[in-house]
Amino acid sequence: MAKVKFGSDAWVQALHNELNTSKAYEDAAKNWEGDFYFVVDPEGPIKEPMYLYMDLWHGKSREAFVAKDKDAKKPAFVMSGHYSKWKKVVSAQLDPIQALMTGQLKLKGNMVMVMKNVKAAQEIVRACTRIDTEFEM
Amino acid sequence: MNGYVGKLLVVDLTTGKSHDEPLNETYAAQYIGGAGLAARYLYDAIDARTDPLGVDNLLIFMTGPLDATAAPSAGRFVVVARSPQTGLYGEANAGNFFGPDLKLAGYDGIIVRGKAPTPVYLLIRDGKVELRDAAHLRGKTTYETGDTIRAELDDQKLTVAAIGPAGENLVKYALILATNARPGAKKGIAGRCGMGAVMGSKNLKAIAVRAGRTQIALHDPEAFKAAVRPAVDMLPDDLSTQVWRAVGTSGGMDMFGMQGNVPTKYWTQGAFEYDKISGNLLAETILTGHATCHACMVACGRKVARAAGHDLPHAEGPEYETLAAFGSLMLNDDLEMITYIGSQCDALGMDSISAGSTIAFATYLRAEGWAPASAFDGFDFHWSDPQQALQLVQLIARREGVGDALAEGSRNLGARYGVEGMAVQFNGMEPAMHDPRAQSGMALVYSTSPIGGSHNQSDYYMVDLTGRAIDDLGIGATDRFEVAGKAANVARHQNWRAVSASLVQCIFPNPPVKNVVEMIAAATGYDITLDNVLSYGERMWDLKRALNIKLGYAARASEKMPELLLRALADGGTEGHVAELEPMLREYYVARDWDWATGKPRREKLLALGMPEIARDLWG
Repeated sequence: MAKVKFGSDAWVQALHNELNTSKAYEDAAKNWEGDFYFVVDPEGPIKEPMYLYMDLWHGKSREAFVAKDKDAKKPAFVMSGHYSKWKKVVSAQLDPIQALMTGQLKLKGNMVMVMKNVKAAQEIVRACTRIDTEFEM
Repeated sequence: MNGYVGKLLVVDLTTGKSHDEPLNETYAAQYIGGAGLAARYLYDAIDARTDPLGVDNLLIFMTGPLDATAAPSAGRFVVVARSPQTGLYGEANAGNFFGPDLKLAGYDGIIVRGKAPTPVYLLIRDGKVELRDAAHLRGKTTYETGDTIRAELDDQKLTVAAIGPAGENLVKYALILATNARPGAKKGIAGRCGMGAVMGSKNLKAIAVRAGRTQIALHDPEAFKAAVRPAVDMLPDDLSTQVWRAVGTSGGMDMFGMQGNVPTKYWTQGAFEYDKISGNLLAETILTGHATCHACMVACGRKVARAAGHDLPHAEGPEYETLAAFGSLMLNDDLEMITYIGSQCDALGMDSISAGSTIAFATYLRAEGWAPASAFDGFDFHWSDPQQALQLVQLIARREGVGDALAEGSRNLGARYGVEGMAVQFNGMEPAMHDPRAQSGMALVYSTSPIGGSHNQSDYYMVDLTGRAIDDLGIGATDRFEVAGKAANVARHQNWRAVSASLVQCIFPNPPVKNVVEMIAAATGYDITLDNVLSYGERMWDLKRALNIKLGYAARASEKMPELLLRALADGGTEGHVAELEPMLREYYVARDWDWATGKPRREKLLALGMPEIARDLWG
């Protein structure tokens, strides 16, 4: 199976499919309500920000795509960081909680929802690691 | 003295006289302020013969050089004395506005000695110091005491640090609680080590202080502003700020529960419905507002107007430690009742960690048959019984019936029934609600802490469990279960937190360390940099160790894990791990350059840290 480029439509679709077939994610995120922008900030060869949109709801991904501009959606949550940080998180070299606690990733949204569903975040990262991902840097 | 008022208030309660004393500039330059500076004063004043509840013990309130400045979340104060709970150096750190108000009233700190013949309170206002009769305050709660003083003096600008009935009755873990009438002010609780009992032993019911117009000169005001600005700019977006503000300290309950960090059924069970006692649920149900200390951008304080059918004094809600100690630790999942019990602990004036732990220990002793049915005056202990917990808190405050035994704490309770080893305590202090089986670092923190099982001496659980590394100080993230190679990291973290306690800065927000160090240097003019700041913390840490040695501390007999924490849990997020203390301790002694046999910092280390007088005391 060919590698999928991080941040591409195909990659977001792959994650969408992984989440929707993951029983562990379904259980961990059964109470999650809220759509997301995962924002990849420019760095190195990445000259433009990427906006990866996912509508996550009660343990399922209802919709996922790469938005052309940030105004395409008004998601409840926005998590952002530079490409190199996302690369580490997606490849399980950096725990997402650690990335957030140390300011390597930023998060905006309802913190009550976030703190009640930390395990869901871990399952998303696990799903990411199951995608054979190609990085640009 | 830049960053300081340059003056202490010394009060002799035996004679009823007080005087001003210049701040010792040499001590300040070495120990900065807050806990470090107060410990240095205490070191000179007490020894192994000092009765913690006797007239010779000192009770010291101290601020730091960042108090009453624009430095974020640095408006705290500390209280130190020989602890009646541990017999060792005692230190409690609190917020609210008492520290900045004291400094603006003209004092860096207060040294209280002696004992008043009758109950009194200390009033510091408009440049005057007065001891006033407190007979009418006897029996009043911490909140009532502050409110009464403000009302009778018709002065709503007074900040009052008071004890409750537990302090008056010398409960070994009695607290001191600071309040004022500012809208949205958060209670300030000097909770640990029984500082409220020391205050009670001196017949000192309260200290009321009104901020004056004292100017705090800064060494380099422009550099100070330049250091503060980046911290103030980044803090609102920082995750710690957002989380603590939204859900308070107890918002970590769900995650900590998942990780096995929240002690349950007196440390014998690994799973519980932690979401039922969580700050997240609290935020969605009974939360009515937020509260802050001085110059805080977080507002972690929870305002809860009513819980379980009761109005809460000052609408003060619970923190994580209280929800765990009166929740999972005794299998209570009634969030509103736990909230009410916590407010009663504050009002009656006792530390909720030690109170909850001691009650849970008694329940465990009865449930396991370690204590006979006739024990505890026939009181029938049950798990999952919040009404019983509330009743016991009230009995403890009055030292009535079984409350008298519980007021002595877990170690003494265990000793009474010949099972001292079953009590989960470190050097007489019940540990905070962070299980070392979920993260090995806290085993080392608790066992080497100068005050016993405290999480305030180092919140290393944040490193082990959330990866909150401090790269600027060489404190990297660590695997939570790993033992090897962790000790030096823990020591550095302790050193940094000793510096935090000297400023006196809250450990919840996460400002860049570089900026904090620049703030200290700009405020004081001391040559403090990222390269040497940990040596200040190490000096403070070694001073507190030296003081404990002076008080009779026996390291080899004392640095050990409670028996229950050596048992692996079959369920939950600890995944069956048990922290092995000795390998970490051996590495720790090397990292600190301490002598294994005696527990003393080595002479050469003390000399290198500029502590020749301490070296002489320890080594001759």
